[in-house]
Amino acid sequence: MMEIRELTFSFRGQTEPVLKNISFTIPKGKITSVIGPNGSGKSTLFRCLTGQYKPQKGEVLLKGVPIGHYNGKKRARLLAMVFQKHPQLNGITVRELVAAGRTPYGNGRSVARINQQIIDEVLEQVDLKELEDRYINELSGGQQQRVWLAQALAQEPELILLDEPTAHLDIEYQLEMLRLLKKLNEVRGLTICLILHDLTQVIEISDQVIALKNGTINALGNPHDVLTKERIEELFHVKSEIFSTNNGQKLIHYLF
Amino acid sequence: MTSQINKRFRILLVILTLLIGINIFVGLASGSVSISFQEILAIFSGKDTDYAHIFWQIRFPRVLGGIFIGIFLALAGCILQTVLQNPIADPGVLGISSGASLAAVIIMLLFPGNIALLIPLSFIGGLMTYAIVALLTFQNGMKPIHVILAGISISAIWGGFQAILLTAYSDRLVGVMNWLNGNLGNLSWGDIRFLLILGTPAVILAVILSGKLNLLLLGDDVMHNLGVPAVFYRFLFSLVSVYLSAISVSFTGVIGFVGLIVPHIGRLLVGNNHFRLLPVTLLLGGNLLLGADTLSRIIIAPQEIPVGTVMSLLGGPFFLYLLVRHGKKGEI
Repeated sequence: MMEIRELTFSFRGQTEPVLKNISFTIPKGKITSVIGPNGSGKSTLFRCLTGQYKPQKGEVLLKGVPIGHYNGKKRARLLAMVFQKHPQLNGITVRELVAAGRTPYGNGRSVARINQQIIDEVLEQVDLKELEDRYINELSGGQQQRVWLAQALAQEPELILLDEPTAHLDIEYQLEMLRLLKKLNEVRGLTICLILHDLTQVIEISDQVIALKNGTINALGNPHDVLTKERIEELFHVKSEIFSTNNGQKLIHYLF
Repeated sequence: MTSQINKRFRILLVILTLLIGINIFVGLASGSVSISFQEILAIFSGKDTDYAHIFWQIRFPRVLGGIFIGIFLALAGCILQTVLQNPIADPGVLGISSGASLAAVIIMLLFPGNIALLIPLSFIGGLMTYAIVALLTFQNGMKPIHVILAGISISAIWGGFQAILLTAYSDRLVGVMNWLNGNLGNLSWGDIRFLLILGTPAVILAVILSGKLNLLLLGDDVMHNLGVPAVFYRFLFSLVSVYLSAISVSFTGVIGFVGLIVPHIGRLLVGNNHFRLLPVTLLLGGNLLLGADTLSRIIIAPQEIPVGTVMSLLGGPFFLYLLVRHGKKGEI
């Protein structure tokens, strides 16, 4: 779905690159998680993937085409991103915000009907249909996060990037969000790439894990291979134990 | 609930339109000479009464000018607040009006024969000020408080230059002083025609692009994600805002705070969605400046005070209130 080749990026005026010679593939129809300590370059990497940041070296190919070759609308129909931080919005309804996701398709009369249909479908998918007329600022954090996800889904992308979608959510909403993503992946075949901090959740949801450290790929592979005690200590300087439950789930216990 | 929101919005539009009607009537009737309701009806029916000349040649263009300038300034403020994501932005506070005013004073005092240059140079003056404020604060991410401080400082500098010019050319000040304090009293039918021709396209453009203003609320990240060039629209809307401010300053001098007060009241009434906010802002802007102008004529009647002074008296405390309110929330 997306291929990243020898990507190097540094911010203007800084000599040390934030990302160094990064190469990996986001496979179609799979869930890829990006992990790593704060400052390892995860969010910067995502902005390079969307074409928002231009790398000094290397390239990002979306469906075989360099990301910079797409015009904004075409790119937005293939690739959507949900950001970690959202602006405070007052007096804008859930439906109005989700409708902004249809921007790449225009809002003329010829597309008005299909736009409304897609918005209805997406609102159903994220279980927000009943709240569609509520103002965003009246919703809980978990509901707001779902609204932003719905906006990205309204773009009908083939690949969706999510920067810490469970940040600032309580455990119930974290699980609800991850279940929803898993369902979208399984039912719609949506390719998902997300940044996560909870490593147990990473094991639970991911097909592939990319571990970043100091702007380079420290490890890449399936979650069971990547997330070992040794690697967790190397990445996060934390000692841990990994347990398997009766139903085959893996749990990571951090040692104080 | 959307139908409820839209119903409330439509009712509000009707109320504000009715209010403009009442405001127009009171504005036409009030002033150094009071014109009765019966006489206004008689004048409208074509009778040549004692005050028909005052009514048609002075009051009517003044009232229409109040509505148009109020609309332009309110819209300019609303756009600036969205473009800069700054709740206390306003053409006056940012120094745009002062830049336009200095350019206008230069033309009026130094090149009085080139009055056609008044509007283009006011626009350039406003634009230069906006560019300077943006450059000075860009490094700090254009934080609201930095933008305001830069705007106030540049206003003070332009004010200094203006004072030097006014002193040096004190023999040419006839009409200029009245204009400087913000005055609708000198507007003629010719001015109204120009105001309409020059301002209407910018207002229509802003209303047509309300959806893009909504996207600007979502921030540059989301705009990029949606394939919309944020920088282009920020630049375009900045031009529209500065242009509307410059037109207003060229015709009536600096009238502050309309662009600050009106969008805030608009947001309280209908929220941030520009499809609802812009129409409400336009009607509120017309109402506020027209009402303030009427007030300026009746506070110490038969004498008048400039409407700019009335707006300063109303807007100053409101600005302080916003500083305290948004300061407490950590938004500036």
